[in-house]
Amino acid sequence: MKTLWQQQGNENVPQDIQPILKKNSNGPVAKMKRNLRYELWVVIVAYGIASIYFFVAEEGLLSSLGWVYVILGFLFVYYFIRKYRLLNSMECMSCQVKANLSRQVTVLEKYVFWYEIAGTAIIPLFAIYTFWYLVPKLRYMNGKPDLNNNYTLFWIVGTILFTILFYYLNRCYVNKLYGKHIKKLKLMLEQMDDQ
Amino acid sequence: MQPTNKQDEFLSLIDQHKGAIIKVSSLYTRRKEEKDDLFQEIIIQLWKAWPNFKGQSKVSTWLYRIALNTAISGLRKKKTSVIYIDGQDLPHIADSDDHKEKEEKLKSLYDAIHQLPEIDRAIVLLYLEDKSYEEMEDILGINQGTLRVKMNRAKEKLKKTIQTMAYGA
Repeated sequence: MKTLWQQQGNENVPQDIQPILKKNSNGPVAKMKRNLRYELWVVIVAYGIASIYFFVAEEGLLSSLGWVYVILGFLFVYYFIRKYRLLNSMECMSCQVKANLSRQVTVLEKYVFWYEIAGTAIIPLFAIYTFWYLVPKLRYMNGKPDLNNNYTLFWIVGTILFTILFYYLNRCYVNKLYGKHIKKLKLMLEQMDDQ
Repeated sequence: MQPTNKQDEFLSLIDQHKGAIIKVSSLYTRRKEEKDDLFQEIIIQLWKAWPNFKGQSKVSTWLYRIALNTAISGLRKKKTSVIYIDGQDLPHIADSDDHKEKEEKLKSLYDAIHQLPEIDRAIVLLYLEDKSYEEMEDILGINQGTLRVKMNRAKEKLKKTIQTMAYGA
């Protein structure tokens, strides 16, 4: 077997390596980083436009909403920075194969955890912002009376139900994105230890 | 002539070890386009890691770690059926009187190795490349005892697979 193997030649080798050095990686982590950068730009542009609108609309009467969007925008940027740092620490290609696989599993599970937390937390945060701040402000500006207790109960129950629903939807989505890869990495780690 | 800059040094290194990279690419892909893509990705990862390589390990150890990490941990669609490799996509054996027969045997060997799990493929590759168990441990991070057991099992599987393919043909 070894003799046959070592008699192989290199005729099928692409001759020009130099152009390859200028290309970007198509590995999974590089793709995830690129997607994250696109998402960040979308958030910056969308939240930027929303903030500017609220600062100038109604002669500045809604400027406090503009500040809410600015703060949310900064929170998103922080969230993206955390995810980007996790991605940077995910690979160590020059480490031993087992160490690299272990690192990928650990970091990917943390990444998924942050994804699930952020996707779920957005619902109660949005509900609190809408019910406790936005709706009373708009009603006050339109001369309408405050909401009664039935509406408060409705919002609380609705928030809890939507939070639970979004938690499971988010988990399904994240599992679809990364679940199979995590399972595969764990299986390979088991193969390494299995005699 | 001595390489004049880092890129020249790197290209010289790749030239010396391109056979190993081709073999890793051939073992972890099934089609020519996938093989070319994996070959490129390994080169890109080697180039990224090159500035940080200060001779902490042997060059071949460093190179195999990166090549196998790239091949093993990349996301790839799960194969649904066994696809036998087109012999034209494999490295060729130098012309000799029996080179056709050897190429057939080599193709059978590649097909058989392809049916092993990814980690076993890496072990078999390093074994066939004449790496010691100590070097294999350094590359893969699996202890030598486990490597020997896995290699013996892999040899048995390969023998059975090649025999099945020969009788089935």
